[in-house]
Amino acid sequence: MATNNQMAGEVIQKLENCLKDLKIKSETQSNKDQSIIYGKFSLDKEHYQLVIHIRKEDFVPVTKAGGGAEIKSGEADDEGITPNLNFQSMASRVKAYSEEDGLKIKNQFLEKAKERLSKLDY
Amino acid sequence: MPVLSNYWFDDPDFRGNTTFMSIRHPAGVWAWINWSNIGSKDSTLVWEREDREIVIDLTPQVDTGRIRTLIDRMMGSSARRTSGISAGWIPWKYVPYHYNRPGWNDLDLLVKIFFRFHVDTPWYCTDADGEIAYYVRFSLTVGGSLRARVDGWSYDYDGGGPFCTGEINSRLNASIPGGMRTLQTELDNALTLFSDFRFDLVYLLPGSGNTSGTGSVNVNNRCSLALLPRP
Repeated sequence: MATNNQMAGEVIQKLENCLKDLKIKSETQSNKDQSIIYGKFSLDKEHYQLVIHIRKEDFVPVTKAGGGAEIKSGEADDEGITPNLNFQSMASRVKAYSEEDGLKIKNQFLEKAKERLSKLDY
Repeated sequence: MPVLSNYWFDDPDFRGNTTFMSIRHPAGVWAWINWSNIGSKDSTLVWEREDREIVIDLTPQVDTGRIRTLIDRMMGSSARRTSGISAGWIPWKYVPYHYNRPGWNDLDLLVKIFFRFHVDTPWYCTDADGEIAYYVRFSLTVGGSLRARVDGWSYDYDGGGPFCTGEINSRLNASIPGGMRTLQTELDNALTLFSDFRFDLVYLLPGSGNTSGTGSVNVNNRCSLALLPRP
């Protein structure tokens, strides 16, 4: 703003001069969209903070962002199933087991997992 | 005996505060689900859960001292973590960097791993408070091996005005994306436990994946990974 907008730059300069005349010590920061003049002063034993904010009227501060990881070529080639809420697409892949067999499969998994966990340094 | 789990969500597309109930349910009979005062709900799901199901509650897996330390180190001086770490589910269409992606459906579920943060600013700006999140996609290979991939990141905050949002964003942009590598390494290490196993199905369940009784949980903040192991 201060570099490509002469009028705004002049306004800032005049404000700084005004504060200097009032013996108020201030600092200024600027970027391409906004400037800020700030300082502190005391008057009759009261302490004050001064902030002058100048910005382009259509400037909207950005307070969020996000991005995806780079997708490597071939990375998803062997991707089979992912969690989703499209029930119909998932149902056909699952074989039904009896209660007895199901519990047996689960217990075998838990025993092997426990054994593996005890061997892993994690 | 299979368990029938019922979920009622406050928000459309299966999100938000979730009331659940699970009952043992044999085939060939009615399941009684009496909700006289369920309140206002915008979406529901029902799942019949097999006896061989393995459930892993994800929040206790990510909210550990070790991972908190890794995150704090990753953020450095850019921001300060102010909450524990949570893991909830999020449909792909609601992920902040969502776009039309070949092979992906809007209701594909990712796990959102997130925490609150704070940034101190000079006196002439308001401090910033917000949320940082990473998005993980679990999957099974065609052969039934379990995979987890960190798909992306996001941050969102209030404050930083009138002048400090640019500086805050610069610092966050310099540190947050790099956290994907850190998180991916942790996931890869954790998945070594499963390297010898093969699975028929992977899915997510709201909350801790309770198999009996009723309760409520916010699925945006807490979910479990469910797996059907092969014999």
